[in-house]
Amino acid sequence: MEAILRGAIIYSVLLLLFRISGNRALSQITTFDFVLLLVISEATQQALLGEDFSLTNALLVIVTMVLLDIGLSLWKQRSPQVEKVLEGLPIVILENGQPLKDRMDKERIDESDILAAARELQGLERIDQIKYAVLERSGGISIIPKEEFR
Amino acid sequence: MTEVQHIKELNLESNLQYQQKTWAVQRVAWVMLLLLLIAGAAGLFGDMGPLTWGSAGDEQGLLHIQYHRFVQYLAPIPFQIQARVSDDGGESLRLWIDRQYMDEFTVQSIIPEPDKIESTPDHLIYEFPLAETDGTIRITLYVRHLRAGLLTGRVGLEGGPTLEFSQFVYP
Repeated sequence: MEAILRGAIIYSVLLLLFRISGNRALSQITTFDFVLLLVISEATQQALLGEDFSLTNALLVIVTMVLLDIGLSLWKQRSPQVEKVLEGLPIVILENGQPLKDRMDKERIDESDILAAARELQGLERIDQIKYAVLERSGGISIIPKEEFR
Repeated sequence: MTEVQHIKELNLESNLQYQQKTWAVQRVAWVMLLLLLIAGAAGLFGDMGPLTWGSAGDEQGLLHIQYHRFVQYLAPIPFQIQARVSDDGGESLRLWIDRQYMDEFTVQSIIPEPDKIESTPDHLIYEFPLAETDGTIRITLYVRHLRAGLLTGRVGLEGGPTLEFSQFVYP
């Protein structure tokens, strides 16, 4: 019982925390973000297993989390509203070469982030070559170049 | 009406109104997390901080205890007791702790070690020698709490004062 409770609580708290920190946070943009993620998982592990290092306990915790994840994904599939709440929405942050400053500020993104994505994904060089930049739910930025640069 | 255009061209559900709500909620949540951290630093969630230690004593100064007000489940913590026998006291000091309270934790160690431990239905009685002291003795119990929730504990000296205190144990 305790293992299941632990699994469920940690799952919900992590879900909430990551939702609070925004789409962009910890989306493995830098090496440090990746390291931070590892450290967080290490800290979580203690709380998940407690003092019980038995195989049974670990299995119960894992099953709890996987089942919760399946359950939530089923729920999200049925209700777009739930999906919106749990995962947020993609948001356009650049339109026809014009960065939408207020949205970028709110999501803590600057032009260099968009340019980095543009170089990586489309081999573009300048902001004005981009038609749309979208901050996806995953935290990544997707780039749609203008017709003439495709 | 740029929003409608986005939906057409990018086939993307974008809802700026919802997004703004999300941002507002996120910022409120950040402040709440900060407050949580400040409370944690103050010791509200166990661990060390200015709020950690509570103390209680009797009027004659025979018994004084220092305990953690907020405790984390299974974390080893000290519980300090300072006791003095009244002037007509004997060779040893008999300290009792409420049995019900004792059931909520394990005692890892007692410093100094008692000479004798007696058990009655209501109390656990520790007997400490007073031979090499001036009648005052400082006892530290290191304990690990086994159950989360609010606890009320009672300690006392046999034939002397009784102190009551509460602790909150976080899961």
